[in-house]
Amino acid sequence: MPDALLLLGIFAGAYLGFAALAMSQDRHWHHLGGARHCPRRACMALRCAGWALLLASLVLALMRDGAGFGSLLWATVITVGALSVVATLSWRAHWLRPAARLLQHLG
Amino acid sequence: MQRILQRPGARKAISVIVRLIAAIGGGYAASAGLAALAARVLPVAAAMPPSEAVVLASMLAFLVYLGLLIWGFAEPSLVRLCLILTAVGVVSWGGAFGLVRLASGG
Amino acid sequence: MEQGFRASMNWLHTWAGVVLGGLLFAIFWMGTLAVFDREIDRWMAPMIRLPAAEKPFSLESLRPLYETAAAAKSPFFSVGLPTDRDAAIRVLWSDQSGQTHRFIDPNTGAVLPDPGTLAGTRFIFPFHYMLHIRAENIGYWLVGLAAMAMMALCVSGVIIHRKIFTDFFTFRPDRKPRRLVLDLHNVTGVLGWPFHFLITLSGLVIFWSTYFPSAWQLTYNGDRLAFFADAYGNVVPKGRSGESGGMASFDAMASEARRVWEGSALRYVFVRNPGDAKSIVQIGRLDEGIVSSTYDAAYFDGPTGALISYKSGTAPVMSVQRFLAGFHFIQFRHWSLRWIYFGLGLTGCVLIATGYLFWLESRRKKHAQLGLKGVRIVEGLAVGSVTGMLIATAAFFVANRLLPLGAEAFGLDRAALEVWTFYLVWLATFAHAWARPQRAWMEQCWTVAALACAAALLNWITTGDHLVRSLSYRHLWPIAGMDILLLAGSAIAAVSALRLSRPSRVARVRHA
Repeated sequence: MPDALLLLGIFAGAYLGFAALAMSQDRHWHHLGGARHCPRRACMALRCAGWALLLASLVLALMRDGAGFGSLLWATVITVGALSVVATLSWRAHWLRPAARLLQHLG
Repeated sequence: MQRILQRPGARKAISVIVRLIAAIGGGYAASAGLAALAARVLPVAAAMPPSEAVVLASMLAFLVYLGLLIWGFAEPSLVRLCLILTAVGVVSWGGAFGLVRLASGG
Repeated sequence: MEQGFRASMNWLHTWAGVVLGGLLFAIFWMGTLAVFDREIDRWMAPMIRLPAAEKPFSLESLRPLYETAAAAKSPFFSVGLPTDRDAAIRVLWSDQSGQTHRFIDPNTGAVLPDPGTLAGTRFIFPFHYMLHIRAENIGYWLVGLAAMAMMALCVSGVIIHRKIFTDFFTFRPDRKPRRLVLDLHNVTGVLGWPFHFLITLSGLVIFWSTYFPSAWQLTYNGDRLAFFADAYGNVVPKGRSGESGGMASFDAMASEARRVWEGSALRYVFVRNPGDAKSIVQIGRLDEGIVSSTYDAAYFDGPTGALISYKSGTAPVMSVQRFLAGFHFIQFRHWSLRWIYFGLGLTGCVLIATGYLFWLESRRKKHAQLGLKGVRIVEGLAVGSVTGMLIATAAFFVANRLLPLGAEAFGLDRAALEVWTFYLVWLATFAHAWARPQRAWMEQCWTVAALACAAALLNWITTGDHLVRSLSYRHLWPIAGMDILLLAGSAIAAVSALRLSRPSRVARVRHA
C-alpha cells in the first residue's frame, strides 16, 4: 500500500510541478484569468515551486524503487505528468483557476 | 542526355540523390570506420580489454552516425561534404586495417 | 540544399517523416503492443490461461520431449521457464520439418494442445524488430534505417521548433485542423522526447553487433563465437562428437545453478547438441528485479552434469549496453513502468500520425490549386500506415478467435492463416485509402471500432472468459486487460469516426 501511495506522490509531484511551471508562462497565466503577463513575484514563486516539486518527485521515485528503476520511473512519469497538465489546460482549465486567483493577490 | 542534365529540375534532383548517398551511405561508412579504428586504438591507449573497446566504439558509432547524418543534410557545400566524408572514411579504415596488419606482422 | 541550417533541417524532417513515417508507425505500434506480448499470448492461446504453479516444477518431466528432440537430431532443446507474466512452460526444438513449439502446464506436466498461433511473442514482437523479412537480414536493416531516421527526426524536430518553451504545454483543441494537429505533434514530440529518443537509441544498441559489425569483425578476425565468448561470457560450444551420450538430471543442474547465484530464480534451460556425448546445458538466470538484462548463464557438461563455468557480473562498458538493452526489453517485474511504456509508446504513434496529418493539411489547398497528386498519394500512404495498421492488427485478433483449432486452408496451417489475414487486410486498407480518398479516414475508423469490439466479444463467446469472470480471477487479469483495451480502443475509434463524419468537420478538413 505505501508503494501505491508513493507512486501517487511521484505522479502528483510531476503533475503539480509542471502545472506550476505552466502557470508561470504568460500564455497560460492569461488563459487562467490573470493579466497579460505573469507578475514577476508570482512567476518566480511558481517556477521555484515547480522545480522543487519535480525534484521532490525524483526523490520519492529513488526512495521507492532505487537508482535503476527509480530514475527510469521518474523520467517516464514526468512525461505523463506534463501531458496530463496539457490535457487539464485544454479541457479542464477551471481546475487551475482558483490557484491562479490566489497567486494574483500575492503578486 | 546532356540537355536533360542541364535542366534546373534535373540538376536539383541529382544533387539531392548525391547528398542522400553521401549522408546515409558515406556517413555510415565513415562511422563504421571510426568504430573499427577506435576499437583498435582504445585497448592500447586506454588499456581497455578488447571486447570492451569493441562494444564502446560500436555503441558510440550510433551517435557519431547521427551527428554525420545531421551535418550531411545541413552542410551547404556538397563538394565539401563528399570530400570530408571520403577523407574520414579513408583515414579511419586505412588506420584500422594498418593497425591490424601491424599487430599480425609483429 | 535549402538555404540555412534551420531550413535544411526542416527539409530533412519533412522528407524523412513522409518517406519513412509509415515504417516508423508500424515499428512503434508493434513495439507498443509487444510491451504486453505475453499477455497477448494468453489472450490468443486460451490453453495457456493458467494459474501460476503452486509447487516447484520438476524439469525431469520434460525428459520424454528431450528424448524426442535428441532422436530428431535437433541442434538444440530450449525450455522457457514460467515468470510472473507467463505461467506456461515453453519448449522448443527443431527437426527437418522445422521448429516445434510446445506449451507445458506446470501444474500437471501435461503437454498442451498446439494453439496454432504465433500470437504476441512470435508475430508481434519479431515484427517490431525485423518485420518478418528474414532474407539477408533486410528486415533488421530496414528497422535500423527507420530507427536512425527517428533519431534524426528527434534532433531536427527540436531544431526547427520555433517556440519550444512557449509552446511547451500548448494544445488548442478548438483551432483549425492544421493548427490542432501541429499542436498535438509538438506536444507529444517535445514532452515525449526523452522517451522516444532513448527507446530508439536503446533499440539500436541491442543490435549493435549487427548494425556496426566493423569493430568486432576487425578485432576478432571475423570470429563471432570467439568475440561473443569474450563480450558476453558465452562458453564456445564444442561441435557434435557424433557419438550418442546420456543426459544428467536437469533438476540437479538447475539446483546447482540456483546455488551459485544464491537462490536466484531461473529463466531458461538450453541444451546444445541434445543426445550427443558433447552436449552442453546452459541455464539462464532470471533477473526480474533489475533494469539490466544481464545474460548471466551457467554451463554444464550434459552427460555428467558437471558445472563447467558460470557468469555473474559484467564488465563496465558491457553493463551499460545490458542496461540499455534491459531498458528496451522490459523483461523486469514492474507493472507501473510497463503501463507507462505502453502509454508513451502510444504517444509515439500519435506523434507519427499527426506528423503525416500536418504535412497533408498544410499542402492540401496548394496541391489542389496546382493539380499536384502528392497529397493524394501521401494521404493513401498515411491512412494505410496508421488506421490500416490498426485494422490489420484487430483483424489478426478476430481471425485468431474465429479459426477453429487445427484449421487448414490453401495448404497453410492455422498460424499462417492468421498471419496472411493480417497482411492481406493491411494491403486492402491501402487499396481502400487510394480508392476512396475523401472518406478513407472515417470509414477506416469505423472498421477499427467494429473489429476491436468484435474481438472482445468473440473472446467471450469462444472461451467464456467475459470481463466479470476475467476480472475476478488473478490469472485472467491479462485477458481482462486486453479486453478492456480493445473496448476502449473501439470507443476511441468510434468517437473519432463520428467527429470525422460531422459535415462541417469534413468540409473543413477537405477545404481548409
